[in-house]
Amino acid sequence: MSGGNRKVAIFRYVLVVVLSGAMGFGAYLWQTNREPVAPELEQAFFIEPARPIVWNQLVAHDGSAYTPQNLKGKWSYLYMGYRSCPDACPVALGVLSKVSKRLAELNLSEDQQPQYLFLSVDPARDTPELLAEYVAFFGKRFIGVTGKDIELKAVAAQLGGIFYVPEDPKPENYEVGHSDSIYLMNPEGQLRVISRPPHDKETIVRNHLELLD
Amino acid sequence: MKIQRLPVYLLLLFIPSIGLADLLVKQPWVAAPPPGSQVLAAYMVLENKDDHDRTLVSVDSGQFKEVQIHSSTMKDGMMLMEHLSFITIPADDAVELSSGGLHMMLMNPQRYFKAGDTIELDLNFKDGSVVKVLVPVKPR
Repeated sequence: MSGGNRKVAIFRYVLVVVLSGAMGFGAYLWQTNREPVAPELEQAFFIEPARPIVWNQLVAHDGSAYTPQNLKGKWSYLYMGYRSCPDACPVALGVLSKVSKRLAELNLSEDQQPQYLFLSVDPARDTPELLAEYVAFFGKRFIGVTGKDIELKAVAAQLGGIFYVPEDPKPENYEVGHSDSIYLMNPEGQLRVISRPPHDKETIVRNHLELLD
Repeated sequence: MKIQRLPVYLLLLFIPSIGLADLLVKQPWVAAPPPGSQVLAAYMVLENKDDHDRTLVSVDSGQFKEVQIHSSTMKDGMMLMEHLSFITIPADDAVELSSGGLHMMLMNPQRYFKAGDTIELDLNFKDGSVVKVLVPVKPR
């Protein structure tokens, strides 16, 4: 009887090993075959797969070089416009300013607090010094960025946006056409979400929290 | 600013819905601009209580170099400003100037305007009438 007991014990042992192995393998298969679930966003496109955004040389409002490396490590909202824009740009940046204040109130780590970029497509008028004064109005996490026309066009194209600066503008008060979307890059510096106008603080905050989940 | 005109403006300030010949200006406001901004946007509702159309042809302000009537429009995926030469307010109807649509673009301010300030605008109509409006500057 003792030999039979040992056989039963060995059989049980083998059974447990085989079953747990099978379960582990099953869990592995389930995990790897599972479709990534796109977050439910409102008034926005989720870009899947996220798209890297690169450029050679842009300049930040403090005069320092702004490189794709500066997008790494945190979420970045970006709006493309110009400083002499009376309506659309201050409206969108005003919404982002409220978003930044709302997210700052939440219990998020510093790394989870996004940065907010105002990409000026009007470098002829928007010097880094003027951008510094302009973006400070919207909050401390706002960064004014601009650069050469060719770099700006490359960035706009990668974002799926466009802009238009008159080639032979009158000395002052010329107008610039530009996309009115808000772009969100993930902490890897890849385009993840495009929010469509009209922009709304609550919607953007809800979308942001959905993405962090 | 001529001091004699001050009482008129003050009167307008306390009675926001006042106008000549039944043209009412309601909820006028100018969005407080970021520092250094050379353009401000004024928004309001123009209500025509008259039995004939009224046409706004120009806007003057001693506090700005120029005021233009603009429409923000989406064209080919781009937000563009369209310069309008007039706005018609149909009889017994209203036209709203608001963010993302019609606005008055106030260009090259004499000084920096911030929330709490007041801007004077003269709305000139095709029939020769002028509606003076005192517009508060408010945060967006």
